[in-house]
Amino acid sequence: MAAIFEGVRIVGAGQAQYTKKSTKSVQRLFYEAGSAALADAGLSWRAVDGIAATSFLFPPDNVATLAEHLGIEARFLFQGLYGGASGVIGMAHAARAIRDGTVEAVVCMAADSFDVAAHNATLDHFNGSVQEFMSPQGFGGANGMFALHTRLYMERHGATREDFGRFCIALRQNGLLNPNSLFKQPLTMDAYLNAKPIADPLRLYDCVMPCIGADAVVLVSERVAAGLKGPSLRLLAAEEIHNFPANDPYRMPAGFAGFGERLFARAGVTPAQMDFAQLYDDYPVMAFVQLEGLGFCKPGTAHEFVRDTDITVGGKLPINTGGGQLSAGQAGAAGGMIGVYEAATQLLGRAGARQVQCRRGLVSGYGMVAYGRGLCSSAAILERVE
Amino acid sequence: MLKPQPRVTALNRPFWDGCREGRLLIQHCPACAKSIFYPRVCCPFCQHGELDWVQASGNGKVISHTTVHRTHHDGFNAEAPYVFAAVALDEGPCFYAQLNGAPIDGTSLIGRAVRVEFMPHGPGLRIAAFRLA
Repeated sequence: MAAIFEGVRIVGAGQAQYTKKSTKSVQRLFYEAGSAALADAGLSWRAVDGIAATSFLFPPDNVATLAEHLGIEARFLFQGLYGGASGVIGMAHAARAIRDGTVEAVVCMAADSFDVAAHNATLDHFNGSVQEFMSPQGFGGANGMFALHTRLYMERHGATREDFGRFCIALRQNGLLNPNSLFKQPLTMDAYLNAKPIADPLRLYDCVMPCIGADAVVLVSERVAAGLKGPSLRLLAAEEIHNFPANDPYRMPAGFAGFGERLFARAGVTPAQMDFAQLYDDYPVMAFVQLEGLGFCKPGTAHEFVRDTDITVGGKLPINTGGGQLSAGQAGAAGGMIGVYEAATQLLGRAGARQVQCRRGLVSGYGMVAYGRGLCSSAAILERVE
Repeated sequence: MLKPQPRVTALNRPFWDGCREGRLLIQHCPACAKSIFYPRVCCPFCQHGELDWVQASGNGKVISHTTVHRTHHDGFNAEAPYVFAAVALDEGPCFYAQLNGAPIDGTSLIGRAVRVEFMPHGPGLRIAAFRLA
């Protein structure tokens, strides 16, 4: 059977510097992350004939004006409208365009320049249902929305604050090995449990820190990859699902269970064969929902899984090996790309002090918070070409 | 400071008019008999294109709740910490609102019965909230 993304290779990964404050425009952040990813691959911008880009702060600009800004003549453009699910989805669209022979080299990236105020202002006007039926009612932003899911998860499954704490502490351990992570101190359980209350049961370290940053990977045709010195990766499968299950935000807060089995079946591998998982960790409860929906553990048991499994870089299933958004920071839409970057840089063998022994791994995305949950879920499985 | 104001549109105007009159109006599908909130252009269950507005009982149960300490908008700062909840209306739909008078200490209120009430919310608007029944 032909591979789903036959003839497509991932050859480079790069980031802009993550910072708390900066005057850089998103165009500049895109340029820096894209340049880093291209340099990682051994390519220049001259080779690029497609761009997939996502940023909440794009308007009034867009991916076409980004192409103009960068001077790229593009035969393929994708602009992510799916929040944190866009990174994986953009990569999949780019892979289809390369497979179909439309383009030879696509830079897939996401960037934003956020602080707490910009994050709240963006979310307040994210879409009609939030603007009309959540924000005026006092939902407390994304924190409030996911506090509801966290409380419900705890009540349904008996998870405790300590279970979420263990997850956040492990990610911090991973993040301390990542020079581009914004948090530089270990997180203790005491500090986690007694942090400033945000939206009960969420406290400060359950919530990502809005920041400035950008992440990118480079996808090319097999023909282009053959001319490069470095290793390359295959995209074994990628799935997305939206508004699943319809009309029911609390049976499942995300759609991962709607494609988990299908993703692995199409990739021809199993969750047990994953050497890492880069999950979308806007809140620890959502990472739990992904572990369950994607088949790493049974529904309602992710808190037990995290209790019993070492998820740090040296562990049985390393999760968010660069610290994830919870420890590296959430640069807006780049939160949906940081896992793609991390998966690629791990499999390319360029993760430095946090390098995991790995051949294949999973990355997931989640976003577009609307009436009570994020509507968009995505995931992909990557494998190094031996 | 003024709280975030909803965008009142042709589609949702009956709902906001209802709040002003102290009535909780939701949509109802004559084809599949499902109740619907937030306001839609068609039934999200059967895609029937003509929906009715009906008055809900105003009764519901708490699906989940949070005590908001850090607000998303300065207009809410004066009342924080306050309880915000997802409520399952007796008619079915999920409705988001503040839970007035509820304990803010994190005591679980999941499954508790609640009753709608209406509060002033900026120029010419009232907004639905709930109170433990």
